[in-house]
Amino acid sequence: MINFTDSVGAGDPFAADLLRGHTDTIVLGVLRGADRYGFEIYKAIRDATGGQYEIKEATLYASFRRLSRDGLVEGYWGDESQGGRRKYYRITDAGRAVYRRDVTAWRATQRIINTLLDLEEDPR
Amino acid sequence: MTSTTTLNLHRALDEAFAAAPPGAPTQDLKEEVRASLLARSAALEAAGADPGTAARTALDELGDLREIVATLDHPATDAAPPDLAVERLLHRVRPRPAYVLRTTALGIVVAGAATLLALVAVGVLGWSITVGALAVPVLALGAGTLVADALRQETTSSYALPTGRALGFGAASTATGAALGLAALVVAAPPLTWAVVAGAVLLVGGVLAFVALGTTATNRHKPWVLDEHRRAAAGNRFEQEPDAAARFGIYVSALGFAALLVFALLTLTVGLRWSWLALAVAVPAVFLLLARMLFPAPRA
Repeated sequence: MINFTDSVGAGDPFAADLLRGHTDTIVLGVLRGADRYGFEIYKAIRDATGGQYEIKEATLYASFRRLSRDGLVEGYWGDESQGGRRKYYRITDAGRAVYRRDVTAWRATQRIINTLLDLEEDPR
Repeated sequence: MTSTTTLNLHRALDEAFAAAPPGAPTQDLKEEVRASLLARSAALEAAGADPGTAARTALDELGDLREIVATLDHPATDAAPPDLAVERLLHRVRPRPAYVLRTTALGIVVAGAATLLALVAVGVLGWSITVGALAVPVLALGAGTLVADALRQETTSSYALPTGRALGFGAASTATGAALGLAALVVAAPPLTWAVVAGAVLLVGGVLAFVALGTTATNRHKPWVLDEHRRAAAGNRFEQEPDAAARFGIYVSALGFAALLVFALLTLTVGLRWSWLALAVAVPAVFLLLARMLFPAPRA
């Protein structure tokens, strides 16, 4: 199984680059259903792709900071657990709106790329 | 989890964060990473790994801690602000075809009713109770529906207004539209006391509703517009200066009281036929006052 980590040079570089550009949207998508803490988000992404894609935690923390700065997620400290307090993230209304916008943009992009790649594969 | 394992994780964190700039963000990030490491380590232990291996695996999977610490050296807030014109184009919201068709059709109907009433008012068409009973409700309800429907639409610069507030603006527009329609009838027809009274009540009610809705409006816009507002240091003056909002309330109350006095005076002197002019002058004055107070001219 190919493992697409988000590090440069690992796995397929095209897929890794493509996925890295959507880290914030992926995090927003994971947070849509429930508030989660960092490791939960990491696990949710890894499990959802059957282990094919893992976002490095450094990338995730940078994403949390960007999303918090833009008001798209809110962080709050949860209860003490396993010797440490977990910082949970909650998606805001603005975050949901941006997620919907990004999904719409992705669908449009996907259609264009699919069309263009089909043209490339079947030259007339 | 053994204390040795925990100690190793804490030590690794202390070493990685030793060079980080001291402060709340650093401590915050450190605690967040610590919680993740402990959670991962506990999950591995639960899966059967021994504590030492679990801790090492958790640290290995986390990757280079220095990269995480580096996010503090290059905070996300240092990023260059986006080009607002590009952002607007990217996030442009196109009107829905059903809404465009609905608004166009309704606009034609409302314009027709308004034209009919205007022709009656200037004497081109004769007055009749049937015309009044048909045209005034069509004008009023049509205008209200147009306004409420428009406010429920999402635009490039604003989210859709909440249903309650959109209906409020629609009701205020309906009342004002009905008052204008009745005014046209009053001008054209023999003195209609009921129309003058009803029109005055509707107009005052409509204006008060507009003022109430306008002064309680929040500035909930899309993130990039909020960012633009923040950078332009603009904002709702009434939110920033509560005393200005209080002054506005007092001015409007005084103006309303004066308008009602003049209305009564005109009714007693020249009759009901002309007394509505007092309200017709007061309404634009309120809007002018609102505009002047919300957007004061810059001081030299």
